[in-house]
Amino acid sequence: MSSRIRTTKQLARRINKEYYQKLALIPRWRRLLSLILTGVALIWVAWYAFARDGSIYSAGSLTKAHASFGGQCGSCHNQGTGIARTVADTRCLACHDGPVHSVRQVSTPACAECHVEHQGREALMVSSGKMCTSCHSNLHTRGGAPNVAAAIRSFSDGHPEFHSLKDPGEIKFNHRVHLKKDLRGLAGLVQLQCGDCHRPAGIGAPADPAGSVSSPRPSRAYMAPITYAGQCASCHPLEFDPRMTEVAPHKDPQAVHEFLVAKFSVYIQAHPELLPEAASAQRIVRRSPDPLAGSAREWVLLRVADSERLLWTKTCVQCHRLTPGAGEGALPRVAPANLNARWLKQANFNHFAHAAVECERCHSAAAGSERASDVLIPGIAVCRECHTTSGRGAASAGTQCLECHQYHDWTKEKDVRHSKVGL
Amino acid sequence: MRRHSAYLIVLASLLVSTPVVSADSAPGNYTGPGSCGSTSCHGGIRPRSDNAVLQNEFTTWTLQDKHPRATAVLSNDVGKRMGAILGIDPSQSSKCLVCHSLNVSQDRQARTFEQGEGVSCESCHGPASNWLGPHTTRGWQYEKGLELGMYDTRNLIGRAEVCLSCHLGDDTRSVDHEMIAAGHPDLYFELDSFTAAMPPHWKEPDKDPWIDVRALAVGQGVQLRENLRRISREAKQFWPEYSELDCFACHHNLVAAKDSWRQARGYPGRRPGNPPWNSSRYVVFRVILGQLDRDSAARLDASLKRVDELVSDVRADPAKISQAAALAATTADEIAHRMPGIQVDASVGWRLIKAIAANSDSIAGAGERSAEQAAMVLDSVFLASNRRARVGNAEQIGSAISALFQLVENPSAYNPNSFAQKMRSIGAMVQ
Repeated sequence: MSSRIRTTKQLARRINKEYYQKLALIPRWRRLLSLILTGVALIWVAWYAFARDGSIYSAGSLTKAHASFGGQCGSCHNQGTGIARTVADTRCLACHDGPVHSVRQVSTPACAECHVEHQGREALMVSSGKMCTSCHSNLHTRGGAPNVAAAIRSFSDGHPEFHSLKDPGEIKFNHRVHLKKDLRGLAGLVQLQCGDCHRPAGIGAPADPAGSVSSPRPSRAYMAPITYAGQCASCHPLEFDPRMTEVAPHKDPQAVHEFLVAKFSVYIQAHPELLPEAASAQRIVRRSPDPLAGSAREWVLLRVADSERLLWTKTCVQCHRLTPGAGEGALPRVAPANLNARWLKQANFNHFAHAAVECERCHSAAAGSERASDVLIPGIAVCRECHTTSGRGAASAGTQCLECHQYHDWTKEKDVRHSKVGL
Repeated sequence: MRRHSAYLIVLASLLVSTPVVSADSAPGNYTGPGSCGSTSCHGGIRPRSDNAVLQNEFTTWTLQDKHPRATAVLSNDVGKRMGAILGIDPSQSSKCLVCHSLNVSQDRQARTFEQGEGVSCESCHGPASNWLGPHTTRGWQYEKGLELGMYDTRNLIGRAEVCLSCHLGDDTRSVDHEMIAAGHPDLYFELDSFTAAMPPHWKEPDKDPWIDVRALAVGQGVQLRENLRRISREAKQFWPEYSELDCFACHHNLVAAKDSWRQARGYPGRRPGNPPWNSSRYVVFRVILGQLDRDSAARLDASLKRVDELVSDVRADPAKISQAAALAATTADEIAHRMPGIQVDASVGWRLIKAIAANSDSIAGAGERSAEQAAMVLDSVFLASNRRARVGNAEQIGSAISALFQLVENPSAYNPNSFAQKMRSIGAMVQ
């Protein structure tokens, strides 16, 4: 029997008696990395802290408008001596005005409940109507019952019919006649289109000197105001005498009077052979004879009187309401036109956004309207044809409150005295 | 005989109660004068030469015509005084407004409009609501408008009827002796002269070179018929209606017997002291008719003889006057309708002038209004004839006609002898 090779001693040596004095590979690395990474993190934080840059704490991108605050959390989030997770309204109102929605509202949400920041570069406003319907679906107001619909659950559920303004205008206008087939124009028969008169404000409008390079003109959301020069003059010239090729100015009667006196005075100076006027070879029947001018002054007075009779009684009254002046030859008063541009004061509309829709599809009553006092704004049913949640699926044009409405009542806008916000 | 006269009364009342132009029977409603005056429509400042329609009608009406001022005169001094005398407010009374405005009830107004704009488009052209829109369209025919309520003013008879509905009166419009006493001018008319004085705002669509002479003859015929219808109406209400009688038989300055031309001429055909009929719508027309249509002239004379006698007799039975006038109106109506188609030749104008001059005594003797009618007719016929074939002594004739007008300028100073003499001299000037 040979001796054993594996002795107990040898076996005992296999075990490192000092294993507890020295870290093994994984724990060693774990400890090492814990120290290094924590150190790096602390250095990183310290670095940003040293650079006074808070962007590392940001919950997401700021909107462009607030981009200049990037990293300076305290611009908005400071509270007392520290930094708060939420932003107090006072911080927003330091730069912005946020007029009250209604003085009768029972609760007012904080700015940030609707204007959610750190959600991306573009939008600061919440686009959902849920914030609106959280009150308006069961509306309670201070000081009695609400003066608006109390149960608006959505655009298609509970939204009342539109309340258009009454027309305060003093212009006589007949849409039906102007839109009829074979309308007689100065140079023959014409067919007018809506767009011949109703043009978006931005198109063809003079550039606004205060406008920016990208948008030098007024918005195209609404139609440009109707003006005599822009819409009426080409078919309704203010002719006043067959001898004259010029037309009278579209101004108040006093200005027209002065224009006529000047024109006829010049004319009679150039045509002295017209004086003194002799009775024309008109047929003799018992009728009061027409007055004859002996002097240039009389001639001017007679011609001005004729032209004014023609203008006041034929031309001006076609569109305007005139109150005759008191006394012979007194100038009439013309009622101000009072043309209204906006009819739904509670909501916004953008014609440009609806450019793909034919005018008549919404303003269907226009072609038959005979009175200027007809307000040709469509009702809610017309909007719901496209702006609906049912039946159209992906073809729905959307039904969010904020597509038409604004939360803040900007008629109550105040000027904000800008305070320094730490830029 | 009784059956016969009963038949006549029925016939007469039918005629009297069916005026040819009745605002209330025309279809459609009234849109008011402003509807026509747009510059592109009828309100241009000067005529458009490229169009059959002048398109400056509204401007002519506003600037040269007296019709737009018809309402305003109701409030002038004479109008106010008339109102005070008659106990009415002329600017509000329908008695005045029926002729002095486009006086239509609220339910006949297609839209609200001012009625104070005088005698306006629809007064003569009819209610426009049915044809205003379509009448500007491509392919529009004049005749379509007539079906839709437009009055047929291209038809000379229709035109004369429209004018005479106010310038003589109809069953809803009248100027009686009471109104004349209060200050209203008595009514007289001659289609061609009044058209020229208006002045016309149209180009005559008929290319007939003698359209003015034809119009004159039509005007004479229709005004006689309307006069007879008026007498027939009035005699049923109250007789004598003095406005039918010669004004100046009574309204003249009395002079010493030795200077009285009336007594010198005598009172042939009527009882002295009876005021004679104002036959001005007959005495000139019968002469015109004698030249244009001899048979008709004889028939007219036959049926007018009785009217003349009865109307010039204050003791006549009003029922008989009404009946005779209505019967004569049927003759006048039939003759008036022959006038638009009457044969006219190049010499007709001069023949008419000679014939009227040849009847100087009877026309001048029929009174001042007859003399005035003759002056207007001579003027119209002379102008129409001289336009076609100028005569060398046109100036001489023209000034002689002007002298005729001067002789009737002051009706009280009217002298039939000097008027007849002047008329005869005009006859002598015409070859």
